Amino acid sequence: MSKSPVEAGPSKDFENRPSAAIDRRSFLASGAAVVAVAEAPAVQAAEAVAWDREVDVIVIGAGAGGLVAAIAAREKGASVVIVEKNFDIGGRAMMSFGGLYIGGGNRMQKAKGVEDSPDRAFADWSRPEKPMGRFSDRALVRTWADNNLELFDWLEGHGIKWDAYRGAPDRLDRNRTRLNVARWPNEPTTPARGSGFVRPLEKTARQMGIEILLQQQMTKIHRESPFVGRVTGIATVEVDEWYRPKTRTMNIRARKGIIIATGGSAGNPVFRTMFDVRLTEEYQAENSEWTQRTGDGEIAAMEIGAALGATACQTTQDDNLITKGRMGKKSNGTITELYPTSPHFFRARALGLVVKDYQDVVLVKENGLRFYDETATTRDYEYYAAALAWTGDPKKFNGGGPIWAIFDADAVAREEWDVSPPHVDPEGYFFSADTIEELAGRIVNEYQWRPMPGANLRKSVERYNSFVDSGADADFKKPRPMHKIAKPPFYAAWHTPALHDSYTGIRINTSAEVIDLRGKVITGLYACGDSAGGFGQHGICRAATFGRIAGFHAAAQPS
Amino acid sequence: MSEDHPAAGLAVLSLKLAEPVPAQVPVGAEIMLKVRVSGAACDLSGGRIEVAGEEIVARAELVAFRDNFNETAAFTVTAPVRVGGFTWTIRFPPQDIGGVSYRECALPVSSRATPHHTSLAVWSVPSPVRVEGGFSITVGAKSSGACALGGAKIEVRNDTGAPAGQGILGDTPWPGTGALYWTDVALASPSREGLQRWSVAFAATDLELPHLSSSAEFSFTAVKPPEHGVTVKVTENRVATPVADVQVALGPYRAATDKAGSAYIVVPAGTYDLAVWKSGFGAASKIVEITADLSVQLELLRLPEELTAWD
Repeated sequence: MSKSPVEAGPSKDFENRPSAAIDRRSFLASGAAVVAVAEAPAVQAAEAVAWDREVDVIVIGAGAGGLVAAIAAREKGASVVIVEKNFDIGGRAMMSFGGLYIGGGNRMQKAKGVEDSPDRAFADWSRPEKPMGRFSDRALVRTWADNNLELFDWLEGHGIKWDAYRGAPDRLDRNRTRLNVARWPNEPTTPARGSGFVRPLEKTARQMGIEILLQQQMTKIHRESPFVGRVTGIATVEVDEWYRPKTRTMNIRARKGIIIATGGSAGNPVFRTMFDVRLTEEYQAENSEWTQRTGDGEIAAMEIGAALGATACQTTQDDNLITKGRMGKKSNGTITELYPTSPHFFRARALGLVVKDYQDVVLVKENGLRFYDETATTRDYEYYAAALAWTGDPKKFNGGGPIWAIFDADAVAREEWDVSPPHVDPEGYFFSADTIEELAGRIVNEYQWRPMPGANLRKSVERYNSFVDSGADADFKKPRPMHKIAKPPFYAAWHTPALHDSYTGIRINTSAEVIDLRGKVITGLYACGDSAGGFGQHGICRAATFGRIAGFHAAAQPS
Repeated sequence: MSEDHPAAGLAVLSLKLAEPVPAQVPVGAEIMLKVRVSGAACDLSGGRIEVAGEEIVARAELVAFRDNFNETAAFTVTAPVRVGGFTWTIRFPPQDIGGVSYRECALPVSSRATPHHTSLAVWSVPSPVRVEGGFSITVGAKSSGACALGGAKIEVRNDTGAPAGQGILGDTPWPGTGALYWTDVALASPSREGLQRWSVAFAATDLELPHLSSSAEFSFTAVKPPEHGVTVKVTENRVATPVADVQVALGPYRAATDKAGSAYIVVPAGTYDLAVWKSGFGAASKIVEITADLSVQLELLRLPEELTAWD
């Protein structure tokens, strides 16, 4: 059994801190904006719920955070049920690159001669000069840093095998690089490496007697009274493979705790437009064919009073929250990798095409006009600002509508694209035609509010082709345009920016306990992974860190 | 009159289309119709329906009896081949069905026949083109009705709008296209150097069905005959290893580097922008003055992984 996770000193808990008692020092140390804490009304009569089953700890979501949380709670003796709305475990992590920002001076780092420490990890990930580090809750960053070494050993102890540290640091890392997990052999869902994180943990979880209920969607978190008291359990509904509710519902009582690990809100336009109003429904969450990430946990927690944490992390414009995406399919995240035989291919409908060289395409908006240098890198937020700009839809002022990649037969040959299914989705996301004007007329898509004007597209392409002759893009300063778009047939592929992940969520303290709008802990409720706000670090390690803390903490609660 | 339907023959039948005829339809297009007859409370299956313009253009039969109407199966009617407004009369002729006599009823429907659109593609335009010589381009034309355009004429005009050449479209569509009829057009090079914007026109006359004409622009650069060989060698900054498959542009001339990171271009003397491009590297350029054969070295800087990683 592991030791308890390391928690940062300050900001552990906002509970039992009447406002009058908050002196300036402890207020600042807490890092919390606790303003005017009202006296809690008396707990009303407990909600009358007919419980179908009972368990110590419920974990909502079987991704990186959820699996870790479940194992941690079980390890401390709790009985655990995981509910997952997909037909398989894995969540967002399954489709990820399987990389963790983990260091602190572990065995593998020492073997490479890398000097690292928790202090260095903390320093890197709370760097004020970088927007990515500027807005995080430093108590949570400190907790992550202080848990790195233990978590490394703990994950190894529960079946994770490491591949290697990446070649170069990215994001905020200076002293370490990202550590990739080893591939899981013969994974049928995806060639991505993320299965190397979730499959070993699934195996461990099942061996430990953790029950995983698939195609069960949480619909409500029960609390003693609407905004007061401890959480008591959840309601679920059985869903089909399109997440449509069936008739069977269930109430599961949680004696000790409920851990939200639902993967964030990138796939929920209503929720995500609270932070960036431009991200309307045409933008698809990467890998949403596998994991919807519709903010289910956030919404259920907010409905019983939870606050959101460090929301500025969502709009730093410093990480790739938005990506250019691959093209020719609806859910077009750049690293959306699957097989035609993947069990979720029926939702994806296509594999999509990756653009190796943006000299091979022009990108146009719904109006057939170019809008930016196509070679923009993934973190060029001016590109997204142009892509998300309004182009005249009188009924929709936010969002920028579809972006289409336009290219010709020569580009297909240079890129070695296969422009037929299963690589592309001709049902609204990929079109071909004999001429450019005809191509514009072919584009019929649920987010294209008017037919693309053919003359616009023809003029855009003719003008671009003249830039190839003149040697300079007079409109958007693309590096010297190299190839004309001239040889038939012509193609239009959906290339609308995709949403990578979410970087804010439910406010938690360093014990991963959920904090309400008055700064108080909602007893028994926890959040981790992309459902939790406060630490704008991308990926699995944040999920695992706070999932483990939540699991340990929940298991230690009185029944 | 039958006893079962004492008033059937006197019932006022009325006609309706399941889907209205669009306000505009391309000439010669096939339009799907489905006619409903209401007013009879019994099955009229086998009843005849006619669609007539100046003469009868389609016949159909009632095949389905629903709660309160009889319906034909969907059937096609071909739109007129002449542009302009037209009216069809959908008729239920006087007829006996199941021993009952029914009176005639009719429904006029109007629409407008519009010409097909055409659009053009211009490709295989060499660039640069040597002044005072000749060159050829390929032009294709497409009818929005996918009509055969073989035998139709393509005209090319230069940047002053003067005719520069013409071609006749062939009878076989360009490979990989549905109905892009194409031809090569031989052209005389301009006498003046520099960027040229020429146009292609398709005059849609003498086609079986009415079509709208169309035009498109194409561009190329006209240059003096080349005289000096320029070797461009591209290496990666710092590590100095050659970089293959780099796109190299020397003024209007383009090439790609080989495995040794080298590209060879023959150009006339002059001052040029040399630009190189490879995905994953920063773009690089320099100005070079060419008065003799020359070798030029250019370094590419690899972009940090943070800018190229998508995960």
